[in-house]
Amino acid sequence: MLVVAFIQWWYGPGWNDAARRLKNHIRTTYLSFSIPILLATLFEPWKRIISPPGASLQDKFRALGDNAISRAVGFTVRVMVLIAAVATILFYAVFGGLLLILWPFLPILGPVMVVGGLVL
Amino acid sequence: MNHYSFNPHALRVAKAKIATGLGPAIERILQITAILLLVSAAALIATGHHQGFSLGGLMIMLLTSFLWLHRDLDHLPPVAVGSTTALDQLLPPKLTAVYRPTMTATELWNMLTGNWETGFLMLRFALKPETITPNLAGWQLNHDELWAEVERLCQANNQTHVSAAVIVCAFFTLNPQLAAQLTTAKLTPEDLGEGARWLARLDAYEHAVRPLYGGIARDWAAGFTPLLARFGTNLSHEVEYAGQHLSIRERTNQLDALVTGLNNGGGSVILVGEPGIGKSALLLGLADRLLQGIESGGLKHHQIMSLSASVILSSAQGPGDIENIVLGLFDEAVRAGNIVVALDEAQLFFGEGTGAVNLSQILLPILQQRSLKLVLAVTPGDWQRLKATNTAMASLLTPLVLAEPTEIEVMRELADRALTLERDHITTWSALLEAYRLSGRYLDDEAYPGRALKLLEAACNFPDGSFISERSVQQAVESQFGVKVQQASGAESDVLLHLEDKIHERMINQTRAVSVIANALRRARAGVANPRRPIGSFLFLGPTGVGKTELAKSIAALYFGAEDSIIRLDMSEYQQVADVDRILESAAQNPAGFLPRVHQNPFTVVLFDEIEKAHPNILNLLLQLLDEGNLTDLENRPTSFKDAIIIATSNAGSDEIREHIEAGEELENFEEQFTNDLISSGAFRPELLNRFDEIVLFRPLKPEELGQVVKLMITEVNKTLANQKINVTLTEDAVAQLVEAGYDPRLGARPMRRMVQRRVEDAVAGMILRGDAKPGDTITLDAEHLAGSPPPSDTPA
Repeated sequence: MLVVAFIQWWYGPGWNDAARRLKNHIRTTYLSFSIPILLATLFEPWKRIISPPGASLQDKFRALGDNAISRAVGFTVRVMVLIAAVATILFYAVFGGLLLILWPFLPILGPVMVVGGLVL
Repeated sequence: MNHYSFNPHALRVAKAKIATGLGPAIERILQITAILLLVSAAALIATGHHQGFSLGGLMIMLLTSFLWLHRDLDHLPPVAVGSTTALDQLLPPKLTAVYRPTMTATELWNMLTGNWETGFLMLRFALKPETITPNLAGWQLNHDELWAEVERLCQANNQTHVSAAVIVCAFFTLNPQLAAQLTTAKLTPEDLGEGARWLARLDAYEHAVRPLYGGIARDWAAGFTPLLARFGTNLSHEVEYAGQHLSIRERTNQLDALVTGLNNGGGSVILVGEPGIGKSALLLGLADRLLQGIESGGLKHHQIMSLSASVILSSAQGPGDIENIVLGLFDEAVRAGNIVVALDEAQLFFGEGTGAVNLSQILLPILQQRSLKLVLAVTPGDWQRLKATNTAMASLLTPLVLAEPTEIEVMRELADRALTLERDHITTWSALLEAYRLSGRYLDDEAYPGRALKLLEAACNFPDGSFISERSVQQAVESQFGVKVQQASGAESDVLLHLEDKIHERMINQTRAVSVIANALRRARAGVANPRRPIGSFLFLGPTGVGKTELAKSIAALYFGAEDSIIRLDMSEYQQVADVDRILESAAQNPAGFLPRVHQNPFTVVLFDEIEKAHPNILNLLLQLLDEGNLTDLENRPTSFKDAIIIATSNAGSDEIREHIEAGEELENFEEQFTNDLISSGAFRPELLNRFDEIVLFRPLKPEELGQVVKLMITEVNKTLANQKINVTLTEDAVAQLVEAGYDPRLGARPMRRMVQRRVEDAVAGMILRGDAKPGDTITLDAEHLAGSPPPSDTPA
């Protein structure tokens, strides 16, 4: 009965659980890298290191320049982080996906390998 | 009643048995073995040994077994209560593994004691498991009845699943002996039910997924806030890094209103509540919600910076500095774009209270422009003052009035916070109940739950063995307020039981008065008296010099531990209507005033001397004091008299008392008629007399009783001379002479003090100065010596 219980779980709730865990892991990575925030603020200044708008024309130009630099810095950092985030998520997706594909074969693979190793 | 079934062959039962049998140690061994096999397999395959595949296969078999054990067998969630009557599906996994429908009550209890939830309840409710088993021995347990009760309790507790704690509760509800055991510990089954809810909250908190607060880029687009970091506290960081206590997220309604207030209208909210009601906790809850970004409108991922007026004020070095700092802070918050500024004790920013500064002119334009989200926290009094003095600003703020939580809510908050306060000890439920009860009585400067939390925190300094118990809380109160709240025991019980004898050691006669007072004090100390009124209130009536004040002093000495535990008001000094305000002066107006003294020393005798001379308005105050046990000062702060003994004295009707006594009547026989006469003569209003617990009549002293008074006075003289090791005794003739010389039926024992001073003390003083009395001498004074000739002194050999 326990073998049946194991098989029932492995090919039913167990497989679902593994998929759910992979999904949660990817979601956590997605949020930990703040991907929605990075996309929403991609062109925002970096840490708002902008000069306050001054009264003189010179100050206004300086503020404009500072602002442009700040935005450029912000954009660069965010894009780099986005690339790192996508790479991490891809890594999890590929290896996690592979594990999910292999999942139904694992209970058979174990005994097969034991026997195969002895026979070879 | 439902019939509950249990199928021992159910799959869930089999799984539970395997999981329980293997345990976490086996899981760990499986893990380590799988890793070793993986390494070995890799090494063998790398070196060309095909046996490595076998090891790899073994590793995969172990891994699959481990996954099954860890993800399935260890988590066999019971089905929801009410959905089935099959116990093999309803019970928690560990209980499912061992339960049998034929179990006796003792066997079932032993099954429960192996569960940590049962241990938690036993510890928190200070119940010893070994005292439970004897009560179960003869109990014919009806399993259906037990599970029906468990189901009922789960529904009452809003618990969807059966837990060991609820089964324990059902035991205590159904078994009369166990229920009695709870009663002995001053607990109820409902208290135990709250314990089960406490566990359920803990369980939910421990298994909750840690919230994500926005990730690494959350604040990248926001501005730097160095000035805010210097002058303020980032509550969001506190929540993010230090976590928060369990109860904060339960204030859903208040948090909803706060977020709505910040998002709508003026965008600034003023939290109105008494100190201790949880304004700061609510801000932490807001910080948590905004960081999570759930139901936070446009304030997603905003942070709360709390500014302290005192820090800002202490940093100012010159005129205008404060304004510049505050402008800089607000400007920084606006530019940062993700800051909500919280002003705790906001009245200090409007020029109210000690160390305040008026920044209304700075705050007003900021509120009008709605460029910054502000949360201000004030007390109701400060809010009223702000509305009266600064209407423009008040109209720009959305008030959120915080009501005091219910007892249940306070108890839950206390329970949750106890876990962070207790450190190396275990806080019992009785301690929490006592903290709630006693803080309500003694910490009247704050509201719940703050006052109870403060007392519980203080109780942690008085551990009772391994526990923070009811006794710890009582000790904290006694230490902090100088009152007695623990049950009288040992020497104190002895004093209380023999109070009459102790009082008579320093008072002559007045047996009736002493007996009445002693009974009242015993009632109060045993906890039988009404806790919402003073410990006792007495009106002492009788001629002067018969022991009224002496009895008050005796009560202070015996009940409060010191003769000077008396706050005395001579009511002849309170005859004008303006004197009412003098009585009601606050601590700020007069620190040595009547109410501030009682506030500082609540455990005291309050003596209103010659009460008939007080202005009628002051007597009206006395009505409130006797009725409600408190008086409110001119600044609207209450002072409790619930731990005081109120004594009022009066000479009114003393001639009538003397006439009755001289006519040979006993006090008991005419005191009722005497009281009626006092009312009809207009000396006292009936509503005042009716509010005293007892009206105590003092009889005039007879000459022979005055002789005993003289002897008591000589005892006092000897106490004074004890430092010089000189002792004075009087012969009977000397006593008789003093009584004869000092007796005045109108003045009672009062002239005797003067007589002892003039004749005895003067004689002794002369002898000491002449060198006739030396240390170790006993001076015996006879009648002739009191008249002037020097007495002999007995020098020890």
